[in-house]
Amino acid sequence: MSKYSLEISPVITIPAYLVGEVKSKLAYVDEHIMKAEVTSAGDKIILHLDIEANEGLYNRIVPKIQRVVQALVKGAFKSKIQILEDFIDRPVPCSIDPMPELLRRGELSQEASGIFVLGPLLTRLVAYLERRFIELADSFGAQPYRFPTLIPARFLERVKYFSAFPHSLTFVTHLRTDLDAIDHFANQAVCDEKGLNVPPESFAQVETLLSPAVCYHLYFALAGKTLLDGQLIATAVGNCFRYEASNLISLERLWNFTMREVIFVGTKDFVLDHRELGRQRMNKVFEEMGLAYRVESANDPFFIGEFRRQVAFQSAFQLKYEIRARLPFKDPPSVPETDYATLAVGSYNYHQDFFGRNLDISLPDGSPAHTGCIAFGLERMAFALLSQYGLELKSWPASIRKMLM
Amino acid sequence: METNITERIQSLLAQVFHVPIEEIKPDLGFGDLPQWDSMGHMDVMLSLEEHFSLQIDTETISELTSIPAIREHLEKKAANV
Repeated sequence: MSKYSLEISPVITIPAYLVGEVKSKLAYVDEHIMKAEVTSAGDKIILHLDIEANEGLYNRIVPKIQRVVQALVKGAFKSKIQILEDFIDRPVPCSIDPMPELLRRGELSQEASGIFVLGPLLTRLVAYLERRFIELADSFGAQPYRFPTLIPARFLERVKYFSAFPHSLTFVTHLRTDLDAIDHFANQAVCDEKGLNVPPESFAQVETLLSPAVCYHLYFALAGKTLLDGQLIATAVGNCFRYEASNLISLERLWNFTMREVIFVGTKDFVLDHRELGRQRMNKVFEEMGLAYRVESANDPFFIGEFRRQVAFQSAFQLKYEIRARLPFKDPPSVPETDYATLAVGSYNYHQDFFGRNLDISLPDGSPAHTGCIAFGLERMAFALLSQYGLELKSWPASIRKMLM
Repeated sequence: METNITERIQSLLAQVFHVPIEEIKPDLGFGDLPQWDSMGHMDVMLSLEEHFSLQIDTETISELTSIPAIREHLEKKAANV
């Protein structure tokens, strides 16, 4: 960890239920922040920096830190956590962080922050998980889709993504279609430790981004249309991209990750009934996998401007439930079950008629379609299982073991 | 009294959504105006709390999705005072 640190007293004490949210948002405050910590009492913020904090840096960072604290804490709404399933105490044999051994064995190699190559063991495990999730999709008769990795900026704008999640966007560009610019790039481009050394004016205006979610592509494909059957169930797997600054660590938080989704479009009851049915079916699958987890109400990682209101809204309307798998290596001895460290590995989502209204997707009666999805983060799910069962296959549940051999 | 409360809610919503009061029909509901989205809904809840000096709990936030529902809630609150 960096030798330079800065301690700040937040303008408002941060309540325990917001410590994690504040910590994750502090990563976006300044490029010199390598890591942010918040004391459990919520009365101190410790920033680890890559340079010494001189007066100028201090004066620049502190007001921004206080702005984040104010925005997230002042008038914050404490959501009541609703637990739908609790199998967090399911016995698991391992309590060791699998990352060092995965890297040592070459089962994992890091290309850059948040970008990893998976070796044979992880690839087989991901393939096994994929099969299980496709079984769920098949149980609904879901239609298969293949979606691109790129997504047009104008689509994301239509669903207000830019104001809700500006911090996690990943932009795509190319060189301007100009012979001089292309020649200049070909002759001068150099990569140093900070990245590609190319003047910004060489690049064309951003028209596309890397896709942050899978289901959006289906909604955009349906934009302006009426669902003649009144309902649709689809499934797809796709690369997703969410930039998380210094929060990008191990397989827990990747910049580039893979999600399998089962997507429902139809009436409110159709979407909610299928979301619930999917949860019940996955309960049996997770039991067979021996996964220690719970399913609890959650919110999306909105940025600070919309955080308070969007989180309150999601909680009030019960729009999102996360599958949170236990990470035993993070728990100190004798920690109570309620405080076990967990990682979100999937979610059950209901968007109401948000996409139906904003993208003009109609039901046969002319009303806007409701949508929802069940999403699984494949790398995270694999990481959680490796954290619970270790790298030695003999410790694994028989049903998975035979698929990994 | 009923009309009075409805008009007060209409006036409040016009302020929150920055639209002329004529656009706030007495049966307006969530999603009927682009401004009445998730963010707008929470703005409405905060304004109701402030304007009518009441506290709206989580369960109720999801019920107050139209002017008639808000009116009914306010009347119930007034009757319980």
